[in-house]
Amino acid sequence: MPPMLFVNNIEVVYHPYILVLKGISIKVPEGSIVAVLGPNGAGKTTLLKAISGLIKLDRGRVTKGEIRFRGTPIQNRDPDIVSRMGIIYVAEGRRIFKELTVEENIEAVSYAWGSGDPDLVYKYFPRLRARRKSRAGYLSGGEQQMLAIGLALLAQPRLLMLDEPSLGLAPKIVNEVYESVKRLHEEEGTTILLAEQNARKALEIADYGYIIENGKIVIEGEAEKLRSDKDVQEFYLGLKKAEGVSYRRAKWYRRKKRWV
Amino acid sequence: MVVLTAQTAAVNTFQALVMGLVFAALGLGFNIVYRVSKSINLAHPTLVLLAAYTALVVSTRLGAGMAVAVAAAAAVGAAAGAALEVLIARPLRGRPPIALIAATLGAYYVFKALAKMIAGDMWTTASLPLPTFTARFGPVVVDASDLLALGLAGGLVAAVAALHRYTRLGVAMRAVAEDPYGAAAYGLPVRMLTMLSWAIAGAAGGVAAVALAAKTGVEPSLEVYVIEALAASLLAGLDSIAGIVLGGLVLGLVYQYSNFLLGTILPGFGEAAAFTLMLFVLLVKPYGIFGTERIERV
Repeated sequence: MPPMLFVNNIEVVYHPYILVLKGISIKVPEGSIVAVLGPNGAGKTTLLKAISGLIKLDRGRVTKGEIRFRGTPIQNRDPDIVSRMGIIYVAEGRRIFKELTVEENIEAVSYAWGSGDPDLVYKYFPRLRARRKSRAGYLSGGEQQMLAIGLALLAQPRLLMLDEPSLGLAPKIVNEVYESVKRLHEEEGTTILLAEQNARKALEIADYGYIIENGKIVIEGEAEKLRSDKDVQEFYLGLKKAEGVSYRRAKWYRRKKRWV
Repeated sequence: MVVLTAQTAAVNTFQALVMGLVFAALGLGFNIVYRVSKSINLAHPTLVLLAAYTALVVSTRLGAGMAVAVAAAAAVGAAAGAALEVLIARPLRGRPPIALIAATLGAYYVFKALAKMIAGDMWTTASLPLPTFTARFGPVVVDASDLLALGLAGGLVAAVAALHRYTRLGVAMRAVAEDPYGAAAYGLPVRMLTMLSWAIAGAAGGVAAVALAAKTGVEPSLEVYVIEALAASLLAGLDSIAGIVLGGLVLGLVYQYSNFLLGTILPGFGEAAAFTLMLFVLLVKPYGIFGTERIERV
């Protein structure tokens, strides 16, 4: 069976000339959690925006390759059409409507989907219930991230794309957010594509992972395998070997990267 | 020299209240458009002019009732607003606001020409056919034009405020106004809601046009009042809807009393006072008194 989402060797160009993604391919099977990892500026956000169509608003384009969702090509479609198909993107930096109250945020998104049971949001993020009358801009960072994910749930997404949900949050709050994400994956059966710098956290819940650098995939594999991979441990999980990092090893890694 | 007595004060304050609400209703269109497109719609004044002549033609030439005239003015206003969005605002989305401001200035003259076409040989000063009716409250005489202006302007502002606050559609329009990009990601029909906002702004201009025409009559230079109402919008803060009532009332008082007290010495100072007020507001509070302070958490 083909994967739910199949990104096949795409290139993305911004502002006619700036090449950001250089031939990336990923697969997201239905019912899985797939993590896209990598440092700042690697192209994780661009990949997610290319899938959601939001690059169009940044004057970007997929110039090569294709993106298929359940067999239908979706590259360079308008973002509202892509979201209608069930792909919901939760942007980094907690994109919520800050001037509106929590309740009004939920109402606004419910308008788009005709349904909208606020209890669905409060079920996974119970903290928000107590704050439903406050303006979203005054919520804590963690609560804003929870609201952003909660709003996406109202669309009953088939594929939920989360961009750096841990960004700028205290470790305890990160754990809480990830607990909720894992729970909604299990209880709602939502397929999740997760972009993260926090590789350790992402690989805790992911089934499969891709590591991107400079717009290319350098390593990919089962989450278990990546967690035990020496390079990944050293460069992304921050686990230091007792003997320290030798220059030779680092060089070997770079050389390897170039060939992958 | 004009003397202010308790009697003239009562009369003038009442008229200031009526004109204040009319100014608020006229300014509403600027605010609604500013919220979704972050730009000032300079075509709004002649959109109001177009709607006013529509109401005049429908009520005199066709002999329809006032309710039909209001509906026709609102419909023409809504169509004109929607057309502005589709033909001008949408293609210019993502460009600097100044591009849209300049483009709406072009539409200003298009609407003025359309108004002239609709008016035909009625392109003169005329008044709406209103029933003769007067009521007296102490020194204050209230006639049909006051009641119509108060009812339409007050009802309009209340209706638009309620729409934005209490309905899902209105809340969704506020969401789109705040962050169209985020709204698109969550699946909100951004284009439809933006167009609807412009259409509502146009319809509000149409209803306000009848309220204004009831007080001032219809004339080829009616749009001047709407340019003055921009001062009420700025006073309120362009993105505040509730604040516009206060902005309108302040403008109404300034307008009425500067005309009354200084009119004999400095004819036409009422208009100048409105713009002086606008200038002052822009100098002291560039975002208006009720303009949204952006929430920033550190």
